Amino acid sequence: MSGNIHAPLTSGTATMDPPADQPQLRVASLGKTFSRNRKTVHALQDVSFDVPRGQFLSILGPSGCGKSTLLHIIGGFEQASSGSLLLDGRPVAGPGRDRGMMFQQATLFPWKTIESNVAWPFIVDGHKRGEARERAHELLATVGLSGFERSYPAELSGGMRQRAALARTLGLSPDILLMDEPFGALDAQTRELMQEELTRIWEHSGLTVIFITHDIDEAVFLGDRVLVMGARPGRIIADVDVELGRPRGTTTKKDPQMAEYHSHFWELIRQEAGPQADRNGGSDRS
Amino acid sequence: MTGTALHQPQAVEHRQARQGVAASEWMLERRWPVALAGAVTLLALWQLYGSTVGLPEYILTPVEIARSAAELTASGRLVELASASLRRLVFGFTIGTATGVLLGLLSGVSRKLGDLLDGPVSLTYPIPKITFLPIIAIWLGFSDPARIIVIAAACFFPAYLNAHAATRSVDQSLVWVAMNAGAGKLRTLMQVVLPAALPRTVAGIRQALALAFIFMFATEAIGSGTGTDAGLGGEMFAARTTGEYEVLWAALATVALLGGTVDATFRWLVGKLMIGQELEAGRG
Repeated sequence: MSGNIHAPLTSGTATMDPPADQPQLRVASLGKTFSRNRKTVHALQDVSFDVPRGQFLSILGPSGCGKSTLLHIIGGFEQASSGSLLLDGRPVAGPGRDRGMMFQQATLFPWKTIESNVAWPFIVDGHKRGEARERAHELLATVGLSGFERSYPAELSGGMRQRAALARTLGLSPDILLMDEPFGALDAQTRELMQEELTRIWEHSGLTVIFITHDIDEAVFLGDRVLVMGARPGRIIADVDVELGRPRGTTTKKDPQMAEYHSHFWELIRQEAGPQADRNGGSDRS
Repeated sequence: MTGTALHQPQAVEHRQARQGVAASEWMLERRWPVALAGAVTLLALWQLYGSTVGLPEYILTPVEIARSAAELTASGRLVELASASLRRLVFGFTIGTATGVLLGLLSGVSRKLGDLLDGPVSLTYPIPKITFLPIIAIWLGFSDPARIIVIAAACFFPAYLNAHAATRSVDQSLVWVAMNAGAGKLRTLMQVVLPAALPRTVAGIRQALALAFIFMFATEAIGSGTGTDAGLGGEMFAARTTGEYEVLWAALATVALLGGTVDATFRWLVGKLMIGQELEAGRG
């Protein structure tokens, strides 16, 4: 495996699990190539990792390392060029409600109110309108958006829109939450608040989360484990367990261990980036 | 899933949201009076110049135009002229725009149909549509059907091109959201792709509406008779030759008034129907 062991950090647990304990998600030798201007771009190469049920997995990497592509493949929106992807032992074929996807932009339907946006997946699922609305209200309360049911997405701030998108995604009752830099477009303060709230929601939920970010502190603060990706070709260069206590909150951010993790990951990324840090491998989307 | 209620969003977020609403209220309350004031000022200056300095005999002042329009309306002539014109406009606009929007949406969704239509559309788009009139007139004469076909042809292009581009440029992730929820192809098309494509499609329809007025006038200018069936355009050209400038100006004012009213109604309707997207575009 691609995990590097660095004291005082230990390598990921997933690969050490006994075979009897099947991982919820198994990504094996995944590869993705695009052809662009007659050139073949390796967006992902030989990416392998397991995700045990209930883990909060952060995937950290520079832009263009293929981390979004990886998430899109897990979500079933894009297809891998090689390798396999097993969800509870079964190969993934297309998108499904078991994997709830959240994007960098809130991607709410601008023509629907917040309530209708959150209720829509329930209606797709065959629920009655009134019932769907009731569920939407509960979910909006969960993310702290009560009172904004009748607002349109354009009337809300970026943070509130992401809350609504989170409510909509939770409404799918997914087993795995796939989050593609969902706080990347928010201002620093809102982003911190959203991180704390996501932690709180997740700690009560038992959900498995795969969280893509290029922000080291975000990856560490949220994750049980951090996969670091390098670009050109996109691949995993480190697999590290984060040994910060739970529940996590404002005090976690002041923990001296945070700084240790930060400099450790920063070193990894710096080495990886090298002199041509900004040439895009061509797969990260926003 | 979780049952814990979370902290309320921060005050900052609330304030930002409220500012958005306040801005849209401000625009609703203050924008149209400003637009009206601009028009009234222009008319007043025109009137003032006409009654103090004086204008050539072929340019009438707003008051004279209004008087002439009132007389012509009372005699029923203006109403007959306008209804002849509007009949052509409505048929031409409806046929051209409906065909354009339908084909545009379909060719946006289906790559095959898009490729198939791309050739004919690229070939015919640059042709000034008014040049169709003499050709069509060979079969149909300078008749209503001939004029309606030309108006429809003119309306087709902005409707088609915008509807096509609108469906092509629908945000991929909106479609993914629908797929994630397990929505089928038809539901995704009807409930996600079409609404997402609506703003640009409607912008195309509005362009078509403006063209419908232009082509209504242009088609009437060529080969019209002298009766009320000439329409507003035909009547204006006839009035020019006979020197009935008050009729000319009354017809012009009627076209302007009709066009302005139709466009304002259209925009109001759009604001009602697409409130969420209008807010997003900052036009709420």
